[in-house]
Amino acid sequence: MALKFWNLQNANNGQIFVIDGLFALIFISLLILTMQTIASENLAKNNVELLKSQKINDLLITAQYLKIDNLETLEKNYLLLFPLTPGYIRINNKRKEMNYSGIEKTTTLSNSIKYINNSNNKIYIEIGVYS
Amino acid sequence: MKSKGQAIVLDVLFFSLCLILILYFEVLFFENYAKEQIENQKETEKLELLLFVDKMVSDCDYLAFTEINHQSLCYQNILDLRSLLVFEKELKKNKICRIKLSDIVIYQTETTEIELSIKRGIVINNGFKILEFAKCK
Repeated sequence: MALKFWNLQNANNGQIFVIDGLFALIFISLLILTMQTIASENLAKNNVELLKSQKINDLLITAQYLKIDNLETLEKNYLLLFPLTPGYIRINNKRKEMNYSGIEKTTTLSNSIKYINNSNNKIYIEIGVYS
Repeated sequence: MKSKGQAIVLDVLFFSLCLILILYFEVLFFENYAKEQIENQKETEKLELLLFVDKMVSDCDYLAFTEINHQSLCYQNILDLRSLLVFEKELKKNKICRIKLSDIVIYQTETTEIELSIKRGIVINNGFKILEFAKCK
């Protein structure tokens, strides 16, 4: 079989097809394995992003209910929910970077809300986290 | 005659090598597949927990059930924790073993080996608080 494998002109087609089939099997196995790994990594990443998004919404909903209109209070709440995650908070035109240590800003997950506070002023709040 | 013998030996050796390689890759594949399945299962359980916790803090049929909500206005994340024990069955079903409101433990079971915890921001008594759900093994 080995000699026939190397000396193809004397090999019969059946043997070549068997070897070919075995290599194809290995290749398919490796391909499926790679696809499985990618799917699992995506699921983990989606869960992390879902939790971040839920926390951002928590901050926005509670800020609207409590009529928060100053950066200090919002900053305190942000740090309670995201003690280490870099991000930013914005109220109207004031913006503050949170847990930001000069790292390169990559993907941002953000959401915003508008409401009218007790003094009848329009308040725009935006919260984002970098990932 | 001698070369024919060598050919048979080489043939057997090459075939054995192929067989060992294929078996090695197959074992490797199934091992990794099993690991991936366990990992996927863990992530799916985490997703279920995230959705359960979200239901607890956002759904007005659960903890988001205050007097304001009675006035046909359902406000997410404004909680009334007095009704927490009504959902004990569901908490146990989702293996929630501890709930902390800021630093105060408000619910705890006998199991203490925490696998995962999720923090959410809520409003209680007109103040912002952190509600932490811990899932045990």
